[in-house]
Amino acid sequence: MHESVGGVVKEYIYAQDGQELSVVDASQNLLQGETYFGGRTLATVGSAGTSYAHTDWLGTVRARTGPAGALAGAYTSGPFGENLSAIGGASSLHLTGKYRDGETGFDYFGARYYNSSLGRFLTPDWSQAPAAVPYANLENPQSLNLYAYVQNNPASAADAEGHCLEDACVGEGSFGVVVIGTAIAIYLGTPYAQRSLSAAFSSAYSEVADRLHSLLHASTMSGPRAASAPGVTAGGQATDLHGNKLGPSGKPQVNETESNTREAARNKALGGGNTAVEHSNPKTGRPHFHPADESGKKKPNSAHHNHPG
Amino acid sequence: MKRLWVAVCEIEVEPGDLPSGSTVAFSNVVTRGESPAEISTKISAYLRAFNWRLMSCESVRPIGGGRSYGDELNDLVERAELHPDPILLGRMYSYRPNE
Repeated sequence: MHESVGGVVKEYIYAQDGQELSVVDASQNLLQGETYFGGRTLATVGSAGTSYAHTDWLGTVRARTGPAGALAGAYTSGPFGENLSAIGGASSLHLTGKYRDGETGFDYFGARYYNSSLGRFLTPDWSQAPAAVPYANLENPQSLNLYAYVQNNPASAADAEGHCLEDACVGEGSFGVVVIGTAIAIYLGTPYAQRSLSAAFSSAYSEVADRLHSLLHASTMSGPRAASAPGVTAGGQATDLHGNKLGPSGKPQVNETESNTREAARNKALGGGNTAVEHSNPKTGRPHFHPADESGKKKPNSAHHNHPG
Repeated sequence: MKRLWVAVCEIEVEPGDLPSGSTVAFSNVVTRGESPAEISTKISAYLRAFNWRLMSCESVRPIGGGRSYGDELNDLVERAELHPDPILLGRMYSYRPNE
């Protein structure tokens, strides 16, 4: 993302899930680099050196310390991230570790921008697959508010990507691990990151990388994701080698129609999903189908439909 | 390229694989092959990868060009025509064997 304010150019580099990785100037010199672990901000490398983030239970940055442990910054804000006050050094990452834009004050969640002073997103929620109310949970009316932040429960929940509560979206949890791993890999591959990481920091990072490797391996074993599956639909859903959409279990996604009897289920399948019943032993003519009533029984004196194919 | 076939298959799945809790269902399956026997073998091998079992296959018939089969089958055929090695499962028409 490109920013130019008063002739000062900054390039923001983000991971796939919207987490800020680096900020560089027009000459590609590193201004700020972020490192994450387990979805949480870990450390920031900037012109003042490295500072380590200390977060609350939701990942909101509450303090920063330098390599020697000295306090570098302390931050207070309300549950919606409002009324932020800082003591010491500034931090561009605040509410649940999301980037807060210095010019607008909005928090960037990847899918949408959030206004902490209003406690709501600036735009309604959306999903890749069209839905009347994306991520709706009819047992929780708060989920029907498309502008609400974490279903108006900000003291207990975080939002990973601007769509819904963490772990409330199907597959979001383990997919996040993959994205984080990808993000760090991208970050490490950039020359300004490699130039800037100190030896001490590299040592700590090595441990993090090892942990990430094991987490990544675990996440790929827990079920297919679009990024790792053999195929993918136009809508981004994972498919197997033979074209079937895959569910979270790694097995083909199932659409089901229940019947009370085996014969009714068989007839529905033979009718290609139409409500039809097979007339396998007609007095005249070849086996064919008849329209069926709601109970799956042949409608008397109804039209004959020949077998498909 | 081998031609497309459709078969109505009775499939046994593992408990919990169907939302209703049932473990048996009929489904239309569209795949490529040269004979009904090859179709059944291919589908059976595919299902085994998920610990599912092919109980039977009936009404195995080749797909005729330009023919309309209804919404569900038409969708399967359309997707199969675009895939190099399709084994596409349609809707699961489940039942409870003991009820």
